[in-house]
Amino acid sequence: MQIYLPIAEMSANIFLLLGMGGGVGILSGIFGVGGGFLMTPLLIFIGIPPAVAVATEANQIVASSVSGVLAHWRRDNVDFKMGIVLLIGGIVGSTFGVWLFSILRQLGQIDLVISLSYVVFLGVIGVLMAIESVRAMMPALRGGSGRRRKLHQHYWVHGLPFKMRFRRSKLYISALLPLGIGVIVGVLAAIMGVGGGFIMVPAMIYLLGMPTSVVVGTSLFQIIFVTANVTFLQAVNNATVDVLLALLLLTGGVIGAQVGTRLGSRLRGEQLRGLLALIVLAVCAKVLYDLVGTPVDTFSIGLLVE
Amino acid sequence: MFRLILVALSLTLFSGPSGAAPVVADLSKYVISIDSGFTGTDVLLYGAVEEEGDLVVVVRGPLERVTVRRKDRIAGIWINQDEVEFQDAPSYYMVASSRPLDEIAPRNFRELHQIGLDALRLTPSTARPEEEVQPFREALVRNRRRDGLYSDSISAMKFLSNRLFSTSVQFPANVPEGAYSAEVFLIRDGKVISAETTPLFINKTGFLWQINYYAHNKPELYGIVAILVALFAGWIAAVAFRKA
Repeated sequence: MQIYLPIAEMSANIFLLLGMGGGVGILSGIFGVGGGFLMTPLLIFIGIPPAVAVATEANQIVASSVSGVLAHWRRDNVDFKMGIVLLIGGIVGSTFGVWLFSILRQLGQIDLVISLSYVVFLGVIGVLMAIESVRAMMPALRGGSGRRRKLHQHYWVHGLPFKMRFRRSKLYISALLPLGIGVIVGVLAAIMGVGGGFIMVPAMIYLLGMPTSVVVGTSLFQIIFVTANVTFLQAVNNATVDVLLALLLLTGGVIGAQVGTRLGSRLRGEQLRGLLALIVLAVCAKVLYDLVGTPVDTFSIGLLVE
Repeated sequence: MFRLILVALSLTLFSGPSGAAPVVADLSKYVISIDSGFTGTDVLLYGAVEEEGDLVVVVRGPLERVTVRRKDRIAGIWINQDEVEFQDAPSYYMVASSRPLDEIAPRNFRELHQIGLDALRLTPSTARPEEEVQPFREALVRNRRRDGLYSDSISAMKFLSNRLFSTSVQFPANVPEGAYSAEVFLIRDGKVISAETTPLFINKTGFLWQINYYAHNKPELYGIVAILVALFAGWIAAVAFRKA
């Protein structure tokens, strides 16, 4: 059954869209990732204009982050103070990102920048995850318990000014660090149509040294507002948010996420992580192939955006 | 009064010896609604000719400004380099004829009436040498043809008898909104004997129209509603699945 998407201005199969939402939802449920970094390239693969895919995905992530954060909030796994500092950076970064997005769109280079960002980030993350899962599988085979992490590590980061106390995370660190992370993630959210959890979560653990229990809840809290900011600014500056498409994706997404959460608790983590790494690398390879392979036509048409 | 003059003018210009219009034509519908199930549609154009001559049907969509970009390979990656902006590209163009167009009329005549994909008036917004613009013009036509928005064919015109003709006008799912026109020309010896124009409108309707209207005319409100819908949907999902 076909459905006409009013902003993408094309007709797409409704079951394909629900299925994509469900499939990515299952993955995000299993792995606790947002899924934007898979959904946006998939939308582009099925022919949604990249600018619409990015803006619409931001809108969908608002919904999936809300349902995620509520569960973490109930368990008191959100560091609101840290979240707000990250958020201030995120608002600055995402506002700058949407501004950059509009300029690139007028120059006719936005599709290229979106694709290149995906190749770089999916490539790096896919490789890191593959290494991690192979490493995790090795000691599992040997029966050993692997490496141990120090509770507090001190390096150059702790010399920065504007120190703040974050009670929930048991940290006393410079506010500049979470601000900077927020800015970078905000720019990525605007240009790639992602929540940025896949960058923020490792940064919070390894750079800030936050306890893992509050990391996901706090990043989801920040993502809600950053993606809401992106949605608003994309709607105002570029008119590229397709609410109908977002609704279809999030319907599949929330159901898939529930299925995924239940599946995830029953499956083995290391192999799954390896599988996700393969999926991420496959998507990366496809995006790269589209950049490098000779296009059907070297000329393309762009409608003028005023 | 003005109308009278027009009627008189059109009679003197187009009327044949019998006094009746040499060609009459009509469409099976005048309004196409793009609703949520829209996957493209066909409209039947039909009519009758009273006189000898060649028939040409041209269906045109609203003019728009488009940018055509050319990708070049830089460091292994295809990157948009050069571009030409055209200020008057039809968003849709379909031509059907009873014989190949170049047999019906010479190029300069067809350029005057914009009959044929090779005779479209595509004006660059900034002046550039013609040999630089031409590949972009051809690329515009080629891309639009691939998207199903431009077409030309001689087989599409069907004759039911010597006088009755019909042709099917196909609109793909990605057809733009706006005011269209369907023109039927009767051409003999390189001259237009008769012509008739019928308007056709393509509009988004209902729910889709509203989404589109608010997205472009009240973007602040649209953005806020999009966020609220997402917040609400996320909350509903969290509540629904906590109980389950």
